[in-house]
Amino acid sequence: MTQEAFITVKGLTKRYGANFAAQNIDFSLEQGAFLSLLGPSGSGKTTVLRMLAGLAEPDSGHISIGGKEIFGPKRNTPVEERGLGMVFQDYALWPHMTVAQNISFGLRLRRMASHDIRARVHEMLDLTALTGLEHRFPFQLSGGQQQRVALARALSIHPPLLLLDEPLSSLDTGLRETMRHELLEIVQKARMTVINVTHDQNEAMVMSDRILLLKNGKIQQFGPPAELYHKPDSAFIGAFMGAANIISGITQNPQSGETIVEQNGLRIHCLAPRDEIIATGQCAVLCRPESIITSAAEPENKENVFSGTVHRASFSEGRWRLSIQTPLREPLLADSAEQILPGTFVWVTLPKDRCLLVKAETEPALASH
Amino acid sequence: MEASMVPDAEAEQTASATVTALMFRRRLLRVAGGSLVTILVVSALGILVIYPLAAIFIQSVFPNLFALNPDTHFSLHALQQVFTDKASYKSISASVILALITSVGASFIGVVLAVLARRTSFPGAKYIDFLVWIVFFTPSFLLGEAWTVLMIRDGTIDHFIHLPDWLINTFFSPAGVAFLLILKNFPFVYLAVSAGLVWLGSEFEEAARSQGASALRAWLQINLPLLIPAILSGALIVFAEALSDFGTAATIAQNANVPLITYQIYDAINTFPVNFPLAAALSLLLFLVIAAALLGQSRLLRVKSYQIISGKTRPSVKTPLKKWRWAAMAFTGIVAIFSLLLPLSECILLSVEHSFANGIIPSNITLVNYQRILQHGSDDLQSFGISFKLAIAAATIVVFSGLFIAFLISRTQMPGRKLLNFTTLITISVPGIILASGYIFAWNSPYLENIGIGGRGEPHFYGTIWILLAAYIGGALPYAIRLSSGAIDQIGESMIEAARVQGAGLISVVMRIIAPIMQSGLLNIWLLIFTGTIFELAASELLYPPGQPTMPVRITGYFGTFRVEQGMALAMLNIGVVAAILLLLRLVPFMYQQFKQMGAQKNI
Repeated sequence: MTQEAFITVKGLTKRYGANFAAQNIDFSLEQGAFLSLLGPSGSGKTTVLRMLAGLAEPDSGHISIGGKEIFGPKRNTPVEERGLGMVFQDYALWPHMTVAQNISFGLRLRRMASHDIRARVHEMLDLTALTGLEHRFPFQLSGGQQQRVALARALSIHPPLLLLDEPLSSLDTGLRETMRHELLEIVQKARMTVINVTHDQNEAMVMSDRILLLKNGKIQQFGPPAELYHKPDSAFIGAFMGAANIISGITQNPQSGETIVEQNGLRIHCLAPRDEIIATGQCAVLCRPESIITSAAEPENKENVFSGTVHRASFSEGRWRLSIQTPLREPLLADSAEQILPGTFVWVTLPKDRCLLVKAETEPALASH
Repeated sequence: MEASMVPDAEAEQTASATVTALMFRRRLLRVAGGSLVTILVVSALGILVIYPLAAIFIQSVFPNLFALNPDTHFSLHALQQVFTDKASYKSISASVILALITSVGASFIGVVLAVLARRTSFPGAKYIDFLVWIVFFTPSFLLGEAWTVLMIRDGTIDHFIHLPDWLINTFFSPAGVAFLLILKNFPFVYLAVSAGLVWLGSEFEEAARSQGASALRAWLQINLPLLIPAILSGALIVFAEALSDFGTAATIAQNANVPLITYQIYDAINTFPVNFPLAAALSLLLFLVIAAALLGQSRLLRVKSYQIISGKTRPSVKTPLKKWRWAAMAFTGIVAIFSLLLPLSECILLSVEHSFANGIIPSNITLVNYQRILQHGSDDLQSFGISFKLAIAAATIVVFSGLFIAFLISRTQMPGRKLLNFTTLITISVPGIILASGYIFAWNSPYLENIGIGGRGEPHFYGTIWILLAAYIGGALPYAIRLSSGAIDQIGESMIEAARVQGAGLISVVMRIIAPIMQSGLLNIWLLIFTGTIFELAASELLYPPGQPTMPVRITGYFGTFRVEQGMALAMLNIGVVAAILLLLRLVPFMYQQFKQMGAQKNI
């Protein structure tokens, strides 16, 4: 990162009994960036967010925001003094207060002058396109409106950092898409630094500047969305970030640049992104369905080419996704613009520069999307 | 340039220093306020509930510890006396047997009425709730006295139809006492089973019907077993309530010569020669039995919650009764007449009679009883004022302290909160007579003079109105905490977290978020405690300051001195005022809500 770090988290650890909810979490974030904490359920992403908010107490580690330490060995600023904004999964709008009262709660606690409060509330209503709804009660609002009130309430107190706890997960699919963009627009207008928790890799990729992928309380990878998608460190990350073929095998002589992975005598040429990732022995090749080329005629280039039979074809998002049985152990997923009927014989090419050598570890349930 | 920059920098520094100072002051206020409230409410529970109960235990085994010349002589004599002294063990066995009979009888009435009200429809079914709540609120000493005058020789009924000796003798015997205790206490089972029926959807029953079971069979073999935890839980509360009852013990049980344990305690303290250790030993025993019953009850409730709630229950259907509707109406009618209509009409009748012995004839009807009460500066009005003020103060203090303690128990990480929770569980219905006797041991002890309470020229606590207020608060606080906990559990954790993230401390969270969300529930708790306190008899009898009797003390005083009519007039006035307050406080917020919603509708 070129810019100076605005948020620094070091060695953040939290145990529940024998289990680590978070283990040695390190990351830093520049001001104005949008970070998503991504991971399957139980990965510790919510725990990390709650530790940042002050709603859960870390066992050890440091957190500082804007150069000010809010948690460390000698300091634990209580949640009500951290002054952060937070949007909850269920919005947690207070049912006995109107929209305006919900938004102004934190300002009234700060004993702000009433005309300043009014001005700030109007500013927030304007920002979140809620003007005209200020006297309604939460139960009189739609799900999307409720979410915007929760956002306006969080932003009203000028927080240095906005925390989002899966705010889109309780909306239905159609509305989720819309709110994703509205939310981004609002936080960008407010120039907020945001940390967002989600289990939806698609949402994380669309919204974030950075993604921190967690599993079992440990950081798997931290970087821009495209990097996690195209250059995952492990098969798990690759599979989590989107549909992927994970072909397991053995590599004899890993080095950066080109490498060969063998499975039952079949050779796959691939690229090793970084030396340090792979040790000799068990590993995997990751290749995304959209990278695989299918053809009826045998390709001239014989590298990474396999013959196979289509045994399933399903139509989704404007293209056909084929499952092809080849001599390889794992059936391959490949995208095709044309419909190819099950039972059809095809040639499959795995372009070398789209095949990535990764660590073998994966979770079977997540390997195919 | 440099010179002009210095003041700016200085100004900025001062400004930021002021902001820091302000922040610091706000923080200090919040932290100090929060800790102060915590210390205040928790020590209230300690001083008003735990210390007096501990004093009972101490008094029963260290007979001289609270005496004028204290010593730490340990003795089990008082506890032995409970089982060797004939009057004592007879009162214990009579109380326990009566409480058991009452549980069975009240369970029968409560279950039948609850099923009729929740699952059937017939003319009059919708009034069952109303009936139950009025019976729940009616003080037992009124019911006891009304039934006494109804049934005695030359009493109201005897004037019309000559009552045979056997009937009068049977009524003024343990049988009559059980009869009244059942009629007074069935609401507890009714409420428990009604709550159970809400969770019990109709699908279990329908599944049984689809397998070929008749409606009755489905009820007996499917629903009834599923309701057993709810029934038992209600029955255990009835058991505890019947054991703690003082109003019946002091009225009809006295007339029937049935000594009950609560009256025995009162007697040991109030009748010469006083026997404090015996009173303490009896109280301790009673407390242990009741605490055991309540612990059992809370266990049952926990079991129930995963037995019946399937998560997919649909609202149940009400079966219209056809040929059974006459039986249902008759049953409901008889319960209504015996538990409410007959005794209440008797109370009203007595309040407008010169003397009940003259019967219902025009010359015997008068308003003079009411006139006497309403005379300016009458002692009755003074009593009314005392009870009224005490009830308002107790209810208000209890509602807010209870809310804070419930919040501390269920929503914070405060050390000792589990112990606090357990304490409220076993003290939830400490009988007034036990608590009051604990207050006497705890606060009438000579050792207090050494720490500056009650000596010559020192502030007094015992014998003042304040100890009565303290006892009312101590008696109601655990109850209010349990009720508040139940309501707090319904509030999503994120509502509270959202407030804390926005900068709210303990007091702000409770007063600005929890209390407003719970306002209707809090109002109910307030009304419950207000009503309970204004009719509280047992603690009042033992603790009222000389010359300042509370209203129930004054009413039963009239009963005891053959001026039932005057006492009833006072009771009716009291009930009228309480009813008016109940209506006002329930109706006004309801109408306010309606207006508010109309306003909100307009804004859409």
